Amino acid sequence: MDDSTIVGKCQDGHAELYGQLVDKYSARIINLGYAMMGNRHDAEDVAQEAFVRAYKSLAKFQKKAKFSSWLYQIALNLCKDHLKAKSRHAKPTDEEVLANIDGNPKQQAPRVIIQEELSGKMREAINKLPVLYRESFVLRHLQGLEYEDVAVITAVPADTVRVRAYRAREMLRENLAPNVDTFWREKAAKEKGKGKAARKDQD
Amino acid sequence: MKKDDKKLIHKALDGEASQSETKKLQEKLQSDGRMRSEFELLKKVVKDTTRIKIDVPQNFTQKVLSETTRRQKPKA
Repeated sequence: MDDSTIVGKCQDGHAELYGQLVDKYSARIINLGYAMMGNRHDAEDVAQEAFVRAYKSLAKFQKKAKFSSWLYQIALNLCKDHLKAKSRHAKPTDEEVLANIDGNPKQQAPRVIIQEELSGKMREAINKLPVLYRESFVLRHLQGLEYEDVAVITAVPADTVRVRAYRAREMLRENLAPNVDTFWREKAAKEKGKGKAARKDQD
Repeated sequence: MKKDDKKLIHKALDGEASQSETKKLQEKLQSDGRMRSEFELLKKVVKDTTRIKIDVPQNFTQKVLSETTRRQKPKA
């Protein structure tokens, strides 16, 4: 069943079908919240609230609209409200990203540790982006949406979204280049070391 | 780097470059090492950010449905 059929049936009183929409979009909405707020707990809370509010307003939902875009809109507005409310408190850290990594990093191979550190830096760099740039970048690149869909969700022209995503990428590149360079340097050095060892073995 | 070259890089990263623009970019990347590095860096930044993901908690759907039911109940 496609989204609009499920929505129609829910509007006709088959509320039990709403779970199918939650199953389908939960990962996307939770990760939207995580990318916007940088905190797992907040992301789950906001996602739950978004689904509940969407359900409560389902009767008002226009069938001509896309359910996913409407849901993204609700979730994004909740994220922004949450960020505003939290703006006077401490900024989120990358600890959760590192805590989400399976196993003890100290026991893993050096290359993996570098990748994980890079991930933490990515998280920090995304959090430093202005909210308007962040939402465009996250919806376009992390959620993989078309610019036209992002434009509907954020209620700005697609070209504005393009410019915001462009600036976000530039800012991320400026913030992360030293880390990426370090990563590449170490990777290249390691590969060079491997090459030398292989040649030594052949000799 | 020229502004137009940078725009071309971003268009390609966005998957919005036309065939002729893609060809033009490939030619430029082959002859310009600095532009090639810039392109690779940006590509890596975008690729790495897409890895930042968390899993859906167990029983998430059930929690949502319970919450919708709870909020629908009239207050005593």
